[in-house]
Amino acid sequence: MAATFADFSTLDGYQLRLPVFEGPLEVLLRLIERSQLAITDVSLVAVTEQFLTYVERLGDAPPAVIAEFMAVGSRLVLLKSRSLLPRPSATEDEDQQDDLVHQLIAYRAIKEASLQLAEWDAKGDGSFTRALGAIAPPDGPTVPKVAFHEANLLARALRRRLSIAPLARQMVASRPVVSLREMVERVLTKLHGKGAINFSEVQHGCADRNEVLTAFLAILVLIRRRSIDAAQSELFGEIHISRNSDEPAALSGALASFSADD
Amino acid sequence: MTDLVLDTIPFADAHHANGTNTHQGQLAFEIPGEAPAGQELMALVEALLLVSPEPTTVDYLANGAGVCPAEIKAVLNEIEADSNRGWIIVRYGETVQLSTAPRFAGHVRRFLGLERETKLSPAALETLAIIAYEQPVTRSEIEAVRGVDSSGVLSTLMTRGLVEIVGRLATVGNPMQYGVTPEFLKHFGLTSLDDLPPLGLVDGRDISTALQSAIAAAEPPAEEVDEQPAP
Repeated sequence: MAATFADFSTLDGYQLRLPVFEGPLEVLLRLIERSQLAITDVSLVAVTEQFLTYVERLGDAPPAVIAEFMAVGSRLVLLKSRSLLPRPSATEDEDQQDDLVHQLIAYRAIKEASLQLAEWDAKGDGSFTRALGAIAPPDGPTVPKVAFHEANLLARALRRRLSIAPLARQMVASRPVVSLREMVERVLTKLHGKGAINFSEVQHGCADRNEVLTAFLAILVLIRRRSIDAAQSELFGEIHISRNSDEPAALSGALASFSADD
Repeated sequence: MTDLVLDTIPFADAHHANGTNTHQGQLAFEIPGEAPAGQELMALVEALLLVSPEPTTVDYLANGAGVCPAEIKAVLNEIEADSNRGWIIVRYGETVQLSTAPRFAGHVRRFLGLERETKLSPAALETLAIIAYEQPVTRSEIEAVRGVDSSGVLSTLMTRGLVEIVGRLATVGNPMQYGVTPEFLKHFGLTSLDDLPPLGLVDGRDISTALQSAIAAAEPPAEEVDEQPAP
């Protein structure tokens, strides 16, 4: 008998028989226990013949299964041949022999432990925890709650609210915008006091990027009007601004002409 | 003005530290009232475990209850010792979780409309036993003990959530190491891995050394570099 069969024949009338092969260690353990032997190399040698007989009958088993049996079988044969030959030095062989013995002992211990697990499994006394997400609401879109009120009640509530205090007028604060004209004024004022300034001084007085742009435009406008001279010694360097010395009147007239042009 | 404000902050902090508010450095919130004790602390810990959607830790419970971790541990032991409760404390690693008492498994299944899981095969149980007692273990170590190919069984156990990959062994090919999951404990109604009975003596020999030497005999073959189970 090469294999036992797990019977699933009751599944919806299908006849399904899957072979479940015992492993070589399982077979070896069974042979030793049937002979009521302890797990030693001596008893392994004693059951070698029976094991090989079992392997011979494995004819139709999958090659992988046969290979596993052959691996154990060859170790048994090695053990047996060693036991038959006189051993010159015992110490070297001890480890070799103990390998299979150790493996069998370990396997038997695990087999026994697995029987305990099987008992618990069959009893089915599992423990259960709360399914995840049972407490917290799901992350999906929440359905708005609908409140039902009579229209006249709502109207009365509104009237009452209005009677308590007038609704405050909504104030919208908007950022003050500096016009080009204002900026020209600002630049000229600075220039008037000092005679020469750097663009960075103008820029320093600007509240945001837009004002800086306006300031730069103002400089360009003043240059076009020949009110000021501007010089930049290097790319991205400081812009030096001074009065246009050729036309002293230009500066004072700049503002007036600017507003006229605009 | 700004400098002045900045200057006062460390002073305010120092004042705060000397105040009454920092007897527990890690506390994120003020605990209302005094820290509970005795029966009340037990009830509180149960309440916290109940609302915890996933396994929590002793430290979290201590933080929530406003007591020290040692007190939480004592209370957890108390809850565990009381067999009249409808729940057990499942411990896995550092985590603790409230879980239904195994003796009510049938009722809980009926209540939740759950089918009984199919029973595990002997091969699956053997593999589980090896992993549970010797984790973390690699597939070749499992196969060294069982003497047969275990890839199919392993993937079945992974699918059922009883076993998971817990790391990689620092050796040739870095094979994956497997360990059992909290679901393993719950499946068998265990409160912790300590509930597993110790491996008995076989023929008067110590099992652990036999297991260790069997596992040590597992030399990863060259093809083990890719630990994917064969289809």
